[in-house]
Amino acid sequence: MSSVIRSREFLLAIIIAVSFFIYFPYFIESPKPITDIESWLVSTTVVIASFAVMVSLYTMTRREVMRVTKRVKGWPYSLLMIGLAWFMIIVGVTLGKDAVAFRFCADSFILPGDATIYAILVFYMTSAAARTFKVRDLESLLLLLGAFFVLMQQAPLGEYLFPWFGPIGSWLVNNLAMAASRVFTISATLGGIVLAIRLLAGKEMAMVGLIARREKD
Amino acid sequence: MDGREGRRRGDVNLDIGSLMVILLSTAITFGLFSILTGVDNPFFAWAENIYVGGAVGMTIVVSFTWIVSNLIQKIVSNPSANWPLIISFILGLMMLLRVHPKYSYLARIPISIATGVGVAVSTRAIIFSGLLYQIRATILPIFDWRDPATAFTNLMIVVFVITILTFFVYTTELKGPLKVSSGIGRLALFASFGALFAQTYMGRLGLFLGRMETLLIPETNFKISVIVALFMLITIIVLKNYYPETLKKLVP
Amino acid sequence: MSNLFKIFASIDRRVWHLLTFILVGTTLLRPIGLPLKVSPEVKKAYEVIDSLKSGDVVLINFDIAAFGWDEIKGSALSMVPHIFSKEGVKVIFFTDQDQGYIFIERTIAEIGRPMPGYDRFPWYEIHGKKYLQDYINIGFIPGFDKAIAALAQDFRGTVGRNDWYGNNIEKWLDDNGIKSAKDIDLILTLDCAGAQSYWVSYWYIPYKTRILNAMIGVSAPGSIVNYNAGMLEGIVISIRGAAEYQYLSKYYGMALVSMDAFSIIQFMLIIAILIGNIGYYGWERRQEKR
Repeated sequence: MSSVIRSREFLLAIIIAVSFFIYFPYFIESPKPITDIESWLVSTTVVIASFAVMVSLYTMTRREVMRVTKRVKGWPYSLLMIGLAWFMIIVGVTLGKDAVAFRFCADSFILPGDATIYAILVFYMTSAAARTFKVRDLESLLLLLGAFFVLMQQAPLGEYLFPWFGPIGSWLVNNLAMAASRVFTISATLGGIVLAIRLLAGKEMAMVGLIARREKD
Repeated sequence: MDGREGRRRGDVNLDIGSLMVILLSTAITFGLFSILTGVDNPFFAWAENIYVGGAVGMTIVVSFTWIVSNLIQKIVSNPSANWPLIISFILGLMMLLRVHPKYSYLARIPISIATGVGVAVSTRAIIFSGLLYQIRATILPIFDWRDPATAFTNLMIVVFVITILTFFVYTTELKGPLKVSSGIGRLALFASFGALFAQTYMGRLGLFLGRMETLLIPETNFKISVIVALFMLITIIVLKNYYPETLKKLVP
Repeated sequence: MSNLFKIFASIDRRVWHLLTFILVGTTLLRPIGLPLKVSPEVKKAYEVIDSLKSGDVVLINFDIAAFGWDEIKGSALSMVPHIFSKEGVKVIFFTDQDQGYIFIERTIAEIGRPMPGYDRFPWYEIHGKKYLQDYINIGFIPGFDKAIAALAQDFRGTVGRNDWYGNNIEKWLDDNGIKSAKDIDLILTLDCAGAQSYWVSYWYIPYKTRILNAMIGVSAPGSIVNYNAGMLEGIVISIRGAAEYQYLSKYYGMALVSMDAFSIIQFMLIIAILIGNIGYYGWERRQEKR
């Protein structure tokens, strides 16, 4: 039995069957049992996703415990990491997510940490722009002009001092940059469709945890 | 407990819990900002590890809460009517076997279902939203003489989309008109990258402004921020210049 | 002169970091109050909300985590109360992010007040609208895009019987005639992770549900594309869009106040680029030629 479950064909059969129940009712009017299976499959995926999160806890704990037991440089930080994670889990599971201690940790560590990590990027973008936005050729000039007009349009002070920059910036964002983003969207969609076809053809089994073996020439 | 209410109203009579929240959140914020000094320091290591641990803990608790309230409670209340949910639950549990060396292969079943559903659900819809609607939105009137400005803009959108698309053609050698088109697309891409950079900058700046607002307003936060920032900055300077060996030991 | 060019060419990045801190700090504490122009897409978003009729059901998605809250809160704190100010409109709060419920509560605490006789969530009153009478909070559903797809596929089944706090919401949903995704009249998605593309795919494409989108700057290009293609009714981009919405709706807040600091830093960036170029042409390029 286990050899059947382990087989590539078995997993591929699951993918094909599942895909049928998702695609078919979307394009063709289908009887209720089929749409029921479709709904169940989508809901089940949500359940699987929520269980998948638990796996990350195991991975993190194992890695950090190993660092602590082997006394790797900086091990006290690992202890801090798993300590806080498990403290929050124990408090959250036993007392609930609205418990005072849980919200205290969230408000003190997680929310400000999360916000700061992304806010730091503004510094890197500033210093990187100062060092790299140099007019060396036509391409870099265009890059600079694109950024310049949009920065002017975004800043109320820019619009106030140079009112004619605003419409140029808006035009660039709503037409030029939009056209580029549209191309990215179309390209990503085509990529997604190709991926779906390759998955159904059994060419992307690494996505389900099967590592592709190198085929002989 | 939560200091936000007090801070928003400029209330100075904060309880000890609220003050602790402000102090710790300010410490973790400046701990993470400390990397901007260019020195690998213990404040950053502390903040980084605390944040990662806490974030994992929070995600687990919220997912667990959802499983209990939307799955287990439903199953327990009426198992016979909710039998499909029992199968979903079993598939979820099988996912946990991913970490078991002997039975990890069983986790491939829920992974296959989730992958198949995920790819199929997204593909069936993006064919319309990501392809057909985008193409339709690009087919624009370009010979409207009553409104030449709009006609020009429409023409530019059509030209930019086509030329940028040709820039991404890698399967054939670009010659003649295709090469010209690709060249125009390349230039258009550079200008649009500039515009996209400015938009991204606006976003990150918005985040930083919000963070600074929390750090500076009202006065209690401002005072705590100044003290914490100065303490960290001075400590880093002293450690770097006078105790470099200690600094090395303190960072992972 | 060449010394000055050399200095310009080799300014330490920490100088820019420090300047950013100082300029933001001073302008946030002492705002100037620069005038602001309202863009057509924000005006459109405002008009869509303003034209909501009694009995309309609005689903508000908080695709918000802490990493984007500071940027999106200006939109949340002006668009959500605007929706609540419309008479007879029913609201469902939902989040596709695990931290999202915290920001739903923050928003409600900011714009509402506890209902008489209550002192905790979810029992808050917003513009006279009471919990479990005019609005509900179904909270977090894991799976992100899969959750959005599941809601579209089987709304009642995915929502379940209870709200985020364990209160039964079946009667509320029945009373307001909400049986499936088709019964939702408008979606407002406040995005930090680009959820709008999934709402478009799973809600607009099959049901033509109207969608409004406020988002962080990083997600803006994707939203502009879908807005241009007519799949989004209106868009509010980042902190600038939020400031415009606050100005239009008269729910003034920090987004509007921080526009001065926003301007100053954007100008600082332009000056930084200019200095970099002067240094490049006055020093670096000459060195390269030698």
